[in-house]
Amino acid sequence: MPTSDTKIQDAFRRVYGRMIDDCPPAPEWEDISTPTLSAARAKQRRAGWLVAAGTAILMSVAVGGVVWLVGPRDGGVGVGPGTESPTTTLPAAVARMTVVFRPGELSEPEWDAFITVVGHYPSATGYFFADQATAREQAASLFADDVNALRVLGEYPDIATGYAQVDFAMADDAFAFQEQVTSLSFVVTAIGPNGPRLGRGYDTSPELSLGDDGVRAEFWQYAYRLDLPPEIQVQEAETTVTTTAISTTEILTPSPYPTDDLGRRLVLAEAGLPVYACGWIVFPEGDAPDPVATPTVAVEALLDGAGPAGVDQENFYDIYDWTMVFESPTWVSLLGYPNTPSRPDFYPASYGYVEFGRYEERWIDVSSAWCDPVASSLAVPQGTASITELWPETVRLALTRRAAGLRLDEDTSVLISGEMIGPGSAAAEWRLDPSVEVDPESRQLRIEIQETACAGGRPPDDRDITVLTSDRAGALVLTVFVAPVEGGARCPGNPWYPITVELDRRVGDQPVIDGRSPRGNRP
Amino acid sequence: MIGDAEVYRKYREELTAFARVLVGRTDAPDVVSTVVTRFLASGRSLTELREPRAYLMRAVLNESRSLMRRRQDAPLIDEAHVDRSPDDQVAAAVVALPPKQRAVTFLAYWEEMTSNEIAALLGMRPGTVRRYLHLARGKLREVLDADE
Repeated sequence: MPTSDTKIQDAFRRVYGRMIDDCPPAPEWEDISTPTLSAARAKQRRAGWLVAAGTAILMSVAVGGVVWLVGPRDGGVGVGPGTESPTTTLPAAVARMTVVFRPGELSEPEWDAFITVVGHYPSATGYFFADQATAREQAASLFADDVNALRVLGEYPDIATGYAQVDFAMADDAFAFQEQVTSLSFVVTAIGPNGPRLGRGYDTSPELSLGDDGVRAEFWQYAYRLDLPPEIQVQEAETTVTTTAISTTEILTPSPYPTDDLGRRLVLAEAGLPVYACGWIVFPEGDAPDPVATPTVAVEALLDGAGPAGVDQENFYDIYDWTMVFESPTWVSLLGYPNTPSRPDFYPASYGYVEFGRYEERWIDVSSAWCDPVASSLAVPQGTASITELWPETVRLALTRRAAGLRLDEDTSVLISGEMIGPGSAAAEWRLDPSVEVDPESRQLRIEIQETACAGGRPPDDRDITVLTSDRAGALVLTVFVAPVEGGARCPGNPWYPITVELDRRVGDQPVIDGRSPRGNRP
Repeated sequence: MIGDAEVYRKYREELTAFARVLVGRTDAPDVVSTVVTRFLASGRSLTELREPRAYLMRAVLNESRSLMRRRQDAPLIDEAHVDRSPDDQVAAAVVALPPKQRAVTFLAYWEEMTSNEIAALLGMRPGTVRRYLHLARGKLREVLDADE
């Protein structure tokens, strides 16, 4: 006999009851005041985080051991209301921290040094990239060319929520230093659009207004987590404030409605990578997306057959005129131009977008929402990065992963030595094929790969697999990328999949390591 | 005069519980934070909203779905926690429901709201709510029937 509705409803209640029992505390509301940064107060805190404010930047670092400094998300020491915050709007701030190592210590491979930079602001735009560019330059100057010295931790890669981390991991790579390293400087710069704001509060202060120079107020929050062995000395350093290229930052505000203005620009510096986007749709360079010239699927048919829109608005499909801006056999993107004089009192956005994915012979609305068209130009050298996501408050880049090793958004497009990997390709784990004996004289290597990205448990039979090879201190480094499953997939775990790697040399007896890890796992 | 803080405090517990059901305990506070800060960052005030509860609940639902989208549809609920419970099969089935079905079942069976109330709250048609409830019950029925 089928279970009764009453019993089913009870089951729901039990499950939800347990979830609610386990509910985390709601975020506190914190109005941010903007007191003058006090040297005395900052020192009292002794927490190890650093705040840049005006020309006075203080630094407090703990020495030795593991020091957990900040992290509202982690329940660590929060930088909250009434704490350090600039009193005036500054164009930019650069904080510099110098960690001094005793001579020779970086040649020891058995310890790790992590400098974690945590920026927290939900609408901080672009700052992280400037940080990383700087960090990368420093890393490049410090390390040999083939060290994965910097990488973004997977734990907080989401710039949309304002969390970003740079994990400065050296560890086993220390052997690759080409010169004695006695100091390591790490420079970070952060700018947010909504005024001086620290911690996890909701800033309602007047500093939210747009400044005369077109730059909304900035905020600074820096926190460093130092995981250092006790013998490492951390030297407090004088810090400086400078105005750099980021001073031209213009934070976008939502487009007025209706508007045809797609030309708003987020400019971080003079270098240009203009990209246009609305929601999840990223367009090629240009003033506005061009319609697909010869679509094979009619827009009307897509909308009619798609069922309810992903957006919870009854007539979402009807209030826009839709233009197809991308089409592939498994993916279609539509941009909607508003066709009605009124708009729902819901989001401050003007346009709409829909993305359809092909599932089991049907087109499904996999993503749709209101969106604001934005254009961006970022201060990174041409050819070194691609923008993978662009929102008014969020920019995601895939930066060139040069030999020094830098990657944003761990699974977005990754460029290595100028080589483009398909968008969304993710590094896969690999191991030597246990069924095949390695022949040192061979120029082929038989390995098995396992995707780390969600692929629905499907093998990558019909997807691009790219194997990049490089050298690192006498070892052969293999990094395997697999193109993503189109349309998204669940994550039940992926199978090992055998491939043969063609080498430009014989296998020999050199170590072969996995380029995914900065430490270089040795399969 | 009621300000943003008061409006937020009035609904924050409910919003967080709702987000907890949708994305799990780890991400729930962040979803709520993101929704509110994004709204305030637009220069508007919560006090301007005619239906702040409805707006915020919808926004939490949308943000939760967006979060899932960004994570390539990976299960967000901390299933490890669920799996340790005695009703793990049932809990896993609930967790596996699409977010909208989870949202409406939570509001219907935990908050004890009617279909019309849920529809008004989430901006859906009442028929859509009932359809979601029907689908969700069907999935849970499969699990419960198999147990018996």
